[in-house]
Amino acid sequence: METEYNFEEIWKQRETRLPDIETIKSKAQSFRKKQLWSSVYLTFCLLLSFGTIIWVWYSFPDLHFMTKSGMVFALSALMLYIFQNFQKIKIINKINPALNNQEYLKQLKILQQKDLYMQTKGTSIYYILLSLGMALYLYEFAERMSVFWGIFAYFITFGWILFGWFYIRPRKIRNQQEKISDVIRSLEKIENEFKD
Amino acid sequence: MQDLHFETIYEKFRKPIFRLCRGYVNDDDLAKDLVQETFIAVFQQLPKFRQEASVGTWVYRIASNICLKQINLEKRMPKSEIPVSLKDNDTLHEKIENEKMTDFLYQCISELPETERIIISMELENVKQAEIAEILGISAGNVRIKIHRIKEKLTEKFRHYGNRI
Repeated sequence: METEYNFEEIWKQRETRLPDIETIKSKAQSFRKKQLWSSVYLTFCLLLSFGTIIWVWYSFPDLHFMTKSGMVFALSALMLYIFQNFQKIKIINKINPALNNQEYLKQLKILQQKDLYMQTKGTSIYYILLSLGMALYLYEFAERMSVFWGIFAYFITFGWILFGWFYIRPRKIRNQQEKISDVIRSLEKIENEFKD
Repeated sequence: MQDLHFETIYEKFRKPIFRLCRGYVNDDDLAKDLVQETFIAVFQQLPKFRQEASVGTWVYRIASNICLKQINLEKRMPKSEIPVSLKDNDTLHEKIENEKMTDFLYQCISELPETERIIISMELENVKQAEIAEILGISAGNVRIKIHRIKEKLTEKFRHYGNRI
């Protein structure tokens, strides 16, 4: 289309100072190192939590079965949290940035949907494991208390668990859902632009 | 045979990619960040590049994907004011200083829908329409129609802009 304005000429007048090639290369190298280290760090945290579970189980033969189980559940919740973050980084890195725009957006959307599922289901599982862990861990100590204090300790614990389950957890899920749904909506909006 | 040295690619494409990103976000610093992110990805992906497409198509694909990925950038994006306080002169082209004209074009482009920003930026960089189609994953006919529509929109805005001063 011919217009009275030479957009191409106007467009190409924009100039700026861009970083030299060595800066880009060194940033790419340090970015790669950072990615590698974050994977190493997460793997280390996962192994450490797993190692602690084994260590607790075999090193304290005198501890009550319920106490040990409680610690294992709580540590499993931590492991789940680390694992989720690890998975997310892995999926992000898997998306090839050289795909065509439509394919790339599709992949981004799939990633966001997976993230939404993981965040909402993951948060619920995380709370279940943590609550179960706390309840079991407390058993041995409550048993040594008087009936009143035993009931009181469980009352406080379950009060906290219910507060977490019915107040903190839905809020956390809602926030995550809103954030991710917002991104999905924007992706869908761009996808629709391709159809016009 | 295509020259696949990172140095050559960077030298050849850094300016067009900067303009593409600049048109997308209408902010110098954000555009520089996107350029950097693009060439970091180019550097990392270069060993995997199988030359199924031209190196230009490949670089533009990476850059446009990185721009599209900035989903929530809109909210942070400074939409600079359109320059209106220009002095009277005889003709429109004399009235509008080059720099302000460029600012206005970049402003107009950044206000287009995301895909249109990418299409027009590549068109203004003389990327072939068939290549633009390949980069976006749509038909060449569709690209042609979109370019026509975008140029109409821009011309309209420029005319309106001319009348305001």
